Amino acid sequence: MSILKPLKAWKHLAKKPHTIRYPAQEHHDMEGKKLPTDKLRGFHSNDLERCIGCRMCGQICMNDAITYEEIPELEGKKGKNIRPVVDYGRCCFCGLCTDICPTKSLHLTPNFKLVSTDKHDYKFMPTQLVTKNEDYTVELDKVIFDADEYKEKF
Amino acid sequence: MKALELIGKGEEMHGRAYIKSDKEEASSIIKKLKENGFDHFVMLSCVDWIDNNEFELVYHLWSYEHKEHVMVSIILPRDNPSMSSMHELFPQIETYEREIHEMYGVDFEGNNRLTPFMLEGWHDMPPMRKDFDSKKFAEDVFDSIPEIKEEEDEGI
Amino acid sequence: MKEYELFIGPQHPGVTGNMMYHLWVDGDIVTKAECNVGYLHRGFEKLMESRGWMQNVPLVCRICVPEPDVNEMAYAMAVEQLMDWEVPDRASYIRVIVLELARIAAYLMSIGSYAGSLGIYTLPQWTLGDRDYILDIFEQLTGARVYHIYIWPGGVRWDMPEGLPDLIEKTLSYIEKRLKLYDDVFFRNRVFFDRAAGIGKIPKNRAIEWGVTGPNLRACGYGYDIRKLEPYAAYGDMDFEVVKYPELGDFEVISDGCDAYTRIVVRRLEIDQSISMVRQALKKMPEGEHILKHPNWLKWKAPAGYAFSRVESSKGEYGYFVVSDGSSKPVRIHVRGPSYTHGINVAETILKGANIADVSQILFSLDVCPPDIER
Repeated sequence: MSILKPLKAWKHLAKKPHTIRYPAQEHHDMEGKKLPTDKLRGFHSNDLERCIGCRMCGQICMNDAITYEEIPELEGKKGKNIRPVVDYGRCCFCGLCTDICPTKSLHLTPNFKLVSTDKHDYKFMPTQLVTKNEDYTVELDKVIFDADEYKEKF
Repeated sequence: MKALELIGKGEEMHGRAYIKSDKEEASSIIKKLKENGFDHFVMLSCVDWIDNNEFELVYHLWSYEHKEHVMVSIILPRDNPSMSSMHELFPQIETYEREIHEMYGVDFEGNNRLTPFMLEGWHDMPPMRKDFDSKKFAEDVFDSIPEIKEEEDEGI
Repeated sequence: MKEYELFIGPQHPGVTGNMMYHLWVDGDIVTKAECNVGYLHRGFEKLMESRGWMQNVPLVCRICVPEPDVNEMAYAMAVEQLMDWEVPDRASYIRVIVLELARIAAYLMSIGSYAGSLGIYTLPQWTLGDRDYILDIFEQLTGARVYHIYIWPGGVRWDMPEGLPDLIEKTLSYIEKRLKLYDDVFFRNRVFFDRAAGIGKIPKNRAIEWGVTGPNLRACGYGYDIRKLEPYAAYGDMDFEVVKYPELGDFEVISDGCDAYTRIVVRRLEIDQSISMVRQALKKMPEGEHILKHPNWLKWKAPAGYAFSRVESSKGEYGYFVVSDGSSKPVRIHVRGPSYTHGINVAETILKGANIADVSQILFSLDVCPPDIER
């Protein structure tokens, strides 16, 4: 037991905080690698050319987050002309749909930033548009979240 | 296995002893197991075998001494199921019995604390029974709530 | 003096989650306590009966928030028992790494919140901050920070990425450095000694009968740890000694065990143990496959039977009872959470005679977690 040792906590007054001003500041791990890495499970991306519309992803999805929409332009190609539409209000980002995908056209990307006041914005068809992006934001017309605008406030 | 030798019946299932018993015999079996080293009561489960019109109560015990797990199973009829309470042997059985009484409707004679546990103001069928349709229940409850009308977007 | 009633929870910083304790108080001494749960009931067990064997994996981890991996592990073990599968060696070692890292994270959280209940608010800030570095590892290993969905029946979802062992080693040595500071600031603090010693005693001769498990049981002097008694994953190959009262290492033995002080010190010592186990697993990890081939998920049928699996979590014994009738969906999955006994029967009994000010520290020292009471 010691009475003076707990006072060691005071020396932290001179140290920088652990917390970061997310999202204005970037998040790094202990080795300085930028997070999130490509492994993070975020929004889907789907290669519409490779997808064959087999409905496997909708059957394994236990939250019924995946529905299908017809795309007439894909008529006559391999497979069916339906493609998955994901409702991110229901999706739990478990990734079972990507593991069961027979053509491996469906992926999870590290993109996760999507802010909207309209609940219908959270239901969209994943395409390859949402694959790579420096800021990990989804490229949609309706997205309100803007990291640059947010950074200016700090 | 030690438990099977002690009781003189039962079978081994995936490395665990599984003993089939009946309503009258069960408490003496569990008492005997408790006195012979099976001193940790793990849990009390209930399984609804709706096709056979039966409930199965499974008492799980574990012995730190013999490093062995034993399941004692009792079959009860699905209509008016009742069982004698064993909370005097292990005090925490009281809570498991409370939950099973609420979720399956099994009555435990001798347990004075069969009060509502997780549910509140519940008058429907016990919800863990297989014939309780949870999807229909969710639709009845949540679809009857009127949808909030979204106002015109005025630029938030 | 007239008795009055007091409600602690469900929204109260002194209670360990969404649950409520109804106390009858005489002066400032509790005469009767009743636990009231039901604020967190999500019906997982019912929901699991309507989903396939693989579809349940993303669901089970949500049963315990601070340490989700033990649920994935216990469920995977139960399914492996039914399927009669032998897990590849490499997967067993990766499982040990994940489980032990999760245990460190859970202990950091529980020690921090316990210190908060004594009014030492520095420690919760530090422990939660340091826990985040472990979540960074999980993010790179499993793809998610909290609900990992990584331990699957038959192995682990992905192999360990290259370079991750370095990050784990770096994080562990950082946490070791920080633990020395915690020792000075909290574990050798006069406030902790004076307030925790002799509080919330579980009678030693009744601890096993009451269903006390895990660190709470080891604080009573019983050296029982499921990792030793019934080794799962690769714990059989790990070299470790079970921490128990009165062998508290560098820490002083100031009471005769079974109390809040010993329970927290046992948790602190088990962090050291987990750190050493992660290092051993990283060193001994063999090459090879990381998962067995699964049957088609949509047509997966498990053979009929009863399976029971148990794992040691940071709170105590987790058990999964899985019943299959040979179809593509389980008949019944019943989860035995450690808080079921700690939070209801044990807490109701040992809160009798405690001061109101000690109620929250007793609950935090038992590490009661309501999500596993209600599932």
